[in-house]
Amino acid sequence: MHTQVSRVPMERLAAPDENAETIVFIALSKASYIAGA
Amino acid sequence: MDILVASAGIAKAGTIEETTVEDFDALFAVNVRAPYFLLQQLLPVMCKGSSVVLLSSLAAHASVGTLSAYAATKGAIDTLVKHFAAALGERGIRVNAVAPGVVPTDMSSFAKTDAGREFTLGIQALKRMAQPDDIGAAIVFLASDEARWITGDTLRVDGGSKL
Repeated sequence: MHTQVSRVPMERLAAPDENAETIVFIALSKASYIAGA
Repeated sequence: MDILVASAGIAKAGTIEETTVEDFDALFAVNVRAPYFLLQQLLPVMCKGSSVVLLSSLAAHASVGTLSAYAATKGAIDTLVKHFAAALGERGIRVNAVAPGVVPTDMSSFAKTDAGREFTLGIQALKRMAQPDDIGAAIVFLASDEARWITGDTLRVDGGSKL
C-alpha cells in the first residue's frame, strides 16, 4: 500500500467525493465547451 | 499565495520556412520561460493547498494551421505540468493546465474571420465558437478546491476539436 501511495504526487489516497466533484463539474453548464476530453 | 494562473502568451503563425529564430525565441520566452521562472520565484510564498494553472493549447495535441513553433511551446507546457506536479505534490501544490481550442480573441484574429469560423466549426464536435468564459470556467475549476485531487493534467477545453 505504501508503494502505491508514494507513486501519487499528492502522497495520499483519494476520497470518493473528490472524484464526484469532478463529475459534477463536467456535468454542469460551466463545462459546456468540454467534449471528448 | 493560493492560486497562480500563468495565462500570458503570444502566438505567431508561420510555415516552417517563414518562422525566424527571433519569432521562435520570442514564443518560447513568453510562453515557456516566463511561466517556468514565475513559478520558481513564487514557490517560497505558495502554501499547502495551492493550485497552479498554466495555459496549453489545442495546437499541442493536433496539427491546426501553421503554428509549429507556437505548438511546441504549448507541448512544453504539457510536459512542465507533469514535472511540476510530480515535484510539488508532496508540498500540497497542484499543477495543471487548460488547453483551449480556437477562441475568437485579439490573440487569434483568424478565428474572427468567416474562414476562421468555418475552419473552427469544421474541426470540432459542438459546432459553436468558444467564448473566453468557456475557458475561464475550466481554469476556475482547476484552481478551486473542487479539483483538489487533480494534478499533472491538461484539460482540453476545445468543444471536442480534432477528436
